[in-house]
Amino acid sequence: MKKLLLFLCGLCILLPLGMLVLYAFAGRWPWPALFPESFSAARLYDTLDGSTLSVLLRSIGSSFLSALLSTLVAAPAARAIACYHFPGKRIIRALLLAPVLLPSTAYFVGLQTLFTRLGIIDTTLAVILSHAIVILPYGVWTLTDVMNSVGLGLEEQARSLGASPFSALATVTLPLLLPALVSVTALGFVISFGQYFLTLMIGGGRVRTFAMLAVPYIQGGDRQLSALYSLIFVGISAGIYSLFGGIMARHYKDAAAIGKGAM
Amino acid sequence: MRRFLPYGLLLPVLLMVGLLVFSLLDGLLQSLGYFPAAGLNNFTLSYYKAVLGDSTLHGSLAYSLYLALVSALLSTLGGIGLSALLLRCKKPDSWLFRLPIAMPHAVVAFFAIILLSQTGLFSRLAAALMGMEEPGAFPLLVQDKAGFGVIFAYVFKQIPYVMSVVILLMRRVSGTYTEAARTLGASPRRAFFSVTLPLCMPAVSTAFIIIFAYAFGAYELPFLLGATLPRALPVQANMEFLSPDLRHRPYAMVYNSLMLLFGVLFIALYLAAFKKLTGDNKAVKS
Amino acid sequence: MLELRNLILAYGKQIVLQALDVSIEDREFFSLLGRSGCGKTTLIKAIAGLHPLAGGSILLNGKDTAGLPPEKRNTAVLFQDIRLFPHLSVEDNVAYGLRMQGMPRKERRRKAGGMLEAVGLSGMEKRPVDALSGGQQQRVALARALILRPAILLLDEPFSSLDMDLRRAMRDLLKGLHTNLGLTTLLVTHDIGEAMLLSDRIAILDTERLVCCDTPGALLNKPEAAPYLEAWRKDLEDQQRLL
Repeated sequence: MKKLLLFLCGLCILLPLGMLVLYAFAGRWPWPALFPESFSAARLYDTLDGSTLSVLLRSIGSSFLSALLSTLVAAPAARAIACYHFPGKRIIRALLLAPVLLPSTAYFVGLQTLFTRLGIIDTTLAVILSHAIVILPYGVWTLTDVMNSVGLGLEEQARSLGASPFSALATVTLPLLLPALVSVTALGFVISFGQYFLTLMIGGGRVRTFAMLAVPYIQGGDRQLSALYSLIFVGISAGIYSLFGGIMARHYKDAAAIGKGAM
Repeated sequence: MRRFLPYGLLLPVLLMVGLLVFSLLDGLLQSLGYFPAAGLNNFTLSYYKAVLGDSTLHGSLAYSLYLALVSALLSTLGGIGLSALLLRCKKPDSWLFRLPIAMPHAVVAFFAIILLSQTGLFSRLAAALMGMEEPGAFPLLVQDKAGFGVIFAYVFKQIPYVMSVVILLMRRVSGTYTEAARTLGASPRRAFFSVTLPLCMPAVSTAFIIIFAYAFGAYELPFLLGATLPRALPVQANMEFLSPDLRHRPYAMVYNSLMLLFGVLFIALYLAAFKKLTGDNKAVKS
Repeated sequence: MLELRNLILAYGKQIVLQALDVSIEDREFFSLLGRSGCGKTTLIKAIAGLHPLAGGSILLNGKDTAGLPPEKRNTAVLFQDIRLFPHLSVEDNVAYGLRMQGMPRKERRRKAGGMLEAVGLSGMEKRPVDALSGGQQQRVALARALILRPAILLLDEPFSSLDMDLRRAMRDLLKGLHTNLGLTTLLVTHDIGEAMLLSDRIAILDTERLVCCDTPGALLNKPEAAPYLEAWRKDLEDQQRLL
């Protein structure tokens, strides 16, 4: 019985994906046919033209940079929160929650104004920066939990064996944290890659990410093009997530950290 | 010097988030009527009064709260249920079930369209089974007043998220405490509801707050799948913001400020729930 | 009365207990002595219904327990890691088994109060369990198990994490309750001294097999038991010399 329910749940995820593939390569598929009448890969070639590919590649690059920036900033913060007692911890925790719990449309506008003031509005830099801000909480959360579970015990042991604070950090803790750092970066990439509204607000239509290409098609009525773009969109996101997401579970037995996936 | 080390480590992150918080000031000022660029130089609460009395706001607010509540509740129940199902599986092979977490919202919106729209899969299945004459005979599930499509899309993404938060905790609790409960006379079902579930609740409640806050404040899904009236709060807010008349800006900023108020509420609730979570976890043995 | 007939237990692919034949009489305090990791915990779990049998049978009061789920067996376990429910107060922990039996709240809390008094913890009813010391938690766990008047009380090295004073106190408490409540108790331990002091009979296990089983006095004179009692004996001699 349980197996049946699980199977149905799995189907709920595979079904839309399957439909996506069908739509992507469907020629004519009028209502109420359950399967396309004809298949055609013609539009695939049209879609994968030079400009789309270049946008895609640049998008991957900028999302990766956002994720990297976020991880680099989140890691020391996580260490501070996990390993030190200091006044103001609660306030800082609250601040770090802001990008996730504050309604996005509310603060995106603020960011837009800010970047305009700074003169970097409508640039890739602004987009990368704003994405990184959105990704931050996830990185800090996960890394704090991992840092907590890894603990300082091994570092202390290294210190007692003669290692300098920096050495101990670099040779003992960092290797232990590496899987988490990779995983968090992958997660950050996925979040950044999927952003549409934020990129629109900050990039003003000048900065073209892959999401900016895909979403208008989904908004419009063309199912086949929407499906094609969605397929690429999902493929990359899910691909990166699957490749690196499993790392956490393999390396960290402790519960809390692994669960902190993203929306 | 050492005392400042944690602050030093936090500096970059505080800087970035500080940008965010700082940027909210402008909006706040504008909502109070101070927008020199549009020639508005007087602080006033009139914009707040106007918007708060406006039925469009009421409609949007109610709609957003409704969407957030329903999707968060369904997702929480579904996530717990899915976790309970997966509990028995030896391999924690939940990769497939966690996949939606990685899917972009726009794509999930598209899923909703190809499945639920009047020319979607379910409509075609219904036609095949019940012999409908035309697509219009299938009920409107996307861009409908009940927000069916939006809720579906949120739930599609959120159940896997709740599951990923809960499953490991559930597994850990389930081994030791459930055994103890069984030896004290609890059937597997009663052990689950009286021991496993209560111990997972703190984590579940933090997840609930997160998904509620997200569903309340996100733009993409209601934009792509929501009804044209009432509009979800973020969508309505953005519409106000895009108005070409700069003197209309304060109205949009009032919308934003109200949403931010809810955001602050969510943060407070989350901190409270988080405190309970770390409090309880001390006792839950690994 | 508990009977283990030709019991074979496996942990994963490894056999941990081979053809064990033991009978525990009513009201008997029986100890199972063996080194760590030799299958003692698995045995406790098997008797409680938490671990499947690879062969043989377990009979409780004459009835074969095969297929009987843990909640239907009249056994109670004191786990090594205590396992008090963190989300319940002390008294609700103690009353948990009664709640499963459907007893109304007032009555079960009353009984819990009585049991807590019996273990020396009266007044602690409303406390959260993480506010208790290790020794106190042990007592609560004991109360939780005993309130159900099990046919047999199963103890899995319960005192190994306690310091000497607490150990002694808990031993006395346990023996007192065992006698006063007329319990049948199975204690699994690697502490020879503990077993010798508390038990009516001791069974010595070594890598899957039963080496010998007799009263403490008789074991002291049995040649098969000698190698296992050797370290303990030497310890006692050293202590004598110091004192």
